[in-house]
Amino acid sequence: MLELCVLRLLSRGPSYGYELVSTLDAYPMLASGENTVYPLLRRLRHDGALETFTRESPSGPVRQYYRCTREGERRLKELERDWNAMVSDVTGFLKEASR
Amino acid sequence: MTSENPAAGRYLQRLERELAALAGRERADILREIEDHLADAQAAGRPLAEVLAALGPADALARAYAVELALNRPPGRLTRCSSTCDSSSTSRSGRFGVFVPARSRNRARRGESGEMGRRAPRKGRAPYFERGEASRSPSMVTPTSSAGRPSRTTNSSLKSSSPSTPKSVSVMGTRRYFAAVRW
Repeated sequence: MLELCVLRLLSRGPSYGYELVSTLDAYPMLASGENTVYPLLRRLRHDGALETFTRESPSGPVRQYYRCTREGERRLKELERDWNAMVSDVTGFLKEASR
Repeated sequence: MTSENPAAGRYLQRLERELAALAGRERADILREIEDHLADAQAAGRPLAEVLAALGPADALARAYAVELALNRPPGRLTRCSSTCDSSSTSRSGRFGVFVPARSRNRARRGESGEMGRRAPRKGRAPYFERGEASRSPSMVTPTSSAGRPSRTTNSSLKSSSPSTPKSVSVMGTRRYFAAVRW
């Protein structure tokens, strides 16, 4: 799920590690500690779903930014579809089973 | 942007040692990213001790990288990880148990030679797995065995590894990590 959220965030625009971690931190159920987000970012980069570039931030140092690739967008769509199907199935099941 | 703080320096050094099995460029990228993270967090006014605690022990972080890089799941398959983790893979893969990535298993199925994990393209994998394996009994790595305490594995904070029991921390860290992925 974290993968879905990271890809969704980055499909809106490039971001860097600390910003991503801070944004995701607001949603505890995602279990998005630094120690999961950073390794995930690295894998997504290896998979070709993300790419990195360096950019000087207006106020601060040169940072490594991540952005979503075409492959990343494709994967995002798949994950979203899977997630929606799962939510709908589980919701339906719980409703049915609690009768 | 080098961290001048001794605690940050020590953490980065430890992380570098733990990542020693990775390719030099990979390792340098990771170190740079974590260093940037420390600098950004401090610039945002967070106390360094808190930031380091959130990152967790350097060895656990290194292992998380190793596992994530070994996973390499095909895209968009939410259920893929549970199939990778299922206990039936234990019999085939021996000591690597549930942590054998699908790709390596496929390679093994095709009959490519070499000891599991020893001849992976990213040389960094084997040591992390082996290190963890020594302290791990099969019942601890089988996902179903944790069913008795599901809420702990899914939702407990990844940040709160206890420093007093390093061995079980590494096992727990890995298992929690998987729980997070499967969720």
